[in-house]
Amino acid sequence: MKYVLSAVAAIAMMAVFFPTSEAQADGYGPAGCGLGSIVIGNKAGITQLFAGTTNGTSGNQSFGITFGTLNCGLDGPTSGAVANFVEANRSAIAKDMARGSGETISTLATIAGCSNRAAVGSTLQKNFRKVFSSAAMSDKQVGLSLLNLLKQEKALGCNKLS
Amino acid sequence: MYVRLVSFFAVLSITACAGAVQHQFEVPSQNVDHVQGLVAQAKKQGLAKHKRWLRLVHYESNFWGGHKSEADGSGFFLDADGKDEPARELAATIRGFYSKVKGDHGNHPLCAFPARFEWLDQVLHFDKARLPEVECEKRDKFFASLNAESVSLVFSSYYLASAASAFGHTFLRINKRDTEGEERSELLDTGINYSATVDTDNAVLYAFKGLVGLFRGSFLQMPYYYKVREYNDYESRDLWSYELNLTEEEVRRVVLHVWELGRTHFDYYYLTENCSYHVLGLLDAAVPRIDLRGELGWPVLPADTLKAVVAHKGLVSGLEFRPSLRRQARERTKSLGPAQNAWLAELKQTPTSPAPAKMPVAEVAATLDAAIDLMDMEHSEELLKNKDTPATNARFELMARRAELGLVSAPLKKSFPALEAPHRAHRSRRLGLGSGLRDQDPFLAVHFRLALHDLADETTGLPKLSQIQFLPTEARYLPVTSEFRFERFSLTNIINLMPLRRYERKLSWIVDVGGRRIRDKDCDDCFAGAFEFATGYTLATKSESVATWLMADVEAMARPGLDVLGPLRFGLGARAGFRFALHDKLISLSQAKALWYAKSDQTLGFEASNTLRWFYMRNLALNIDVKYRTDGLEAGLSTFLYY
Repeated sequence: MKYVLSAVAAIAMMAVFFPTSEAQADGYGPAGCGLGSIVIGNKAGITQLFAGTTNGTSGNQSFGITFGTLNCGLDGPTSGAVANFVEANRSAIAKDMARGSGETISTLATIAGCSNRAAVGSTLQKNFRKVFSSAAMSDKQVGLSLLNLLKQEKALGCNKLS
Repeated sequence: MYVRLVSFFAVLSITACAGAVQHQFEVPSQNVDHVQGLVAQAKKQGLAKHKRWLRLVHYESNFWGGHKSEADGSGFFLDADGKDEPARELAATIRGFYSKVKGDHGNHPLCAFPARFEWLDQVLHFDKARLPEVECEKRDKFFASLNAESVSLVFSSYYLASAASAFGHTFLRINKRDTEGEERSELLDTGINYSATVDTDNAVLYAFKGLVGLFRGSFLQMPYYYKVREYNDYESRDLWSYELNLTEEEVRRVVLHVWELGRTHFDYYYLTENCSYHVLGLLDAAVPRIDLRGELGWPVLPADTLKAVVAHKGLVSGLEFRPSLRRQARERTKSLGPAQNAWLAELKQTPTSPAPAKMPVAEVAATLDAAIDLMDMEHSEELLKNKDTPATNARFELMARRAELGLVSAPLKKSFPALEAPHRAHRSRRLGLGSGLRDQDPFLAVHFRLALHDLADETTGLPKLSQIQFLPTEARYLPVTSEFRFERFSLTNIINLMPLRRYERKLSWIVDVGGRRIRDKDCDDCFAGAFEFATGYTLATKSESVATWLMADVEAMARPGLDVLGPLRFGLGARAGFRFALHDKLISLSQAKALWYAKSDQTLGFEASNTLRWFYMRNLALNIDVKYRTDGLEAGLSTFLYY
């Protein structure tokens, strides 16, 4: 009975709320760690589906707890870690850079091992235009660009960049 | 329902997939007797029926007194019949630990099942000298990356824009140990998420498969920052973290067991074996002193799991709140003065609009800060997809201007809306008994609702202006004629009121799918299927204790012979409402609607009602209803029990 009830109910519910949305977006692939690269379309502002890029649904063995693949891993503090963090948090980092402070900046200072933590925010703020040349930069470009800046700004003492 | 459809993390996962665990174990000849001894000892001690073993392999007792594991991936079992046979699985596990290493060390049971090993070693005292030497490189790397110090259960709040998340979502966060000389950053903690991998884009198929368990659910790990960006920013949902008071030993066991679960999947059932259920199953397996799943009812709603955790005395050591982007934007716009607000309105049109000449630089900065947050809120999707659109370019311009000011913003004031903590909500199911009069005829009424909340319910722990109902039902007994009949029933009934604010102009909406009794010229006293959708605007006071709304309304009703044109009747009209919370526990809700029915005997339908509900005790309420409809007046008094 439970299942019959729930079946009826949820089908109605889904029918109302899930205008059949595209589950496979076009041109969608493993393009770095950016949040956008793993999000699928949103039609009519109602459905928001996130989905994976890989064959997670077709393999007969699924090992979810893995890491270090597609450059998006949790490997220690390496240049990969900085770039990954920047790519995934790109939008929030840009905002915090403009403001000269924020959680993503202090986290970035930690990952990059910057000894002069206090100066990271204002330095990034000053160099906003240097890191971001346009709104349309790819996540990867932003990651590289920010990494380069941290390398150049020796005064910040970021020692986990390579 | 609240499935995370996401296999969000799949990006971070999969490719490193190893092969299946060896099923054929070859125990070196010199150890055969030793292993047999251990197996016999385990049998003697009845370990296969031990709570720890049953939980570690996720066995549930079934109808016939046997056991069946909820895990559905063959890689989780060392015996071919392990899913149904705890004792055989136990024996195979012991043999597996002593078996020769073949191929990839990572697939040897010693690497794959560290939590099983730890417990069995405690009770059976394995002879370490006889165990093979293995190098569990991936596993150790995983443990090192988690660097676990504590565990939090995280709730991502109700999100009515998506059916999958309407009831919220829960997942675990493994909190990192402080590294010397480094500031702790929550963003770098690890999220452990259980979610379904959805493989269909068909809505009905999606619902069906989810209910009968045809989707595959699995545990995935990802940096917590992905979760923060997804929920806080992209979906504007609050995150509540319940830090669990676990010993170091228990935290370690959670991590060991997470690793084991990474090998398998579970069939995903929306209403029962869902995200919240398996997250508690993981905790129960690792922490034998608790029994969180024992506290769950049916269906399993994410917020219920929070209540279960809080109900365990001393299990929660702290509660943290991370505000959604919407709350952050509200906080930033709150303190703006008239000049700033005027300029902000211009900035939204023209991001290059110059700052008012005499505005102090700090106020210029605060205005730009607010403008950027508003942009993020209104264009989250474009931003996420990194599109080159007017909105993303405008945001870019605002950020560049803000950076040029060179002033560092102070951190946003931390808020903690204690009354909204989700574990404090009333219980999810509701049963009501009452009586009333319709015209002169008395009736007795039975009310039932499977979940979760309506606009007249107590709002502690829930969004004040949202209604999420799943199977609300009212049936009546008429003593005069000795008849029993359904009055109304909804499969789902959702009201999402979004009050207009200076910087928030969103449509409110109502959806109701179900059926109700009609008494008019088209059909006197018959039950008809009904679908209703309304949308319009809401106004509310700042505290949201007084709210009113006006919406355009469409309705379709179905019943054989209902209309001159056939079994369907379509109505078009308007509806309005007024909600007044005199107190958190005393709420008045008035609603009215008028509909015009096309080409029908009954050309106009009108309905007005008022509900007054008083929560005089925890999970108990008194409810007074007065309703006027085209066909007459009725009034009722009921008692509601939330359980």
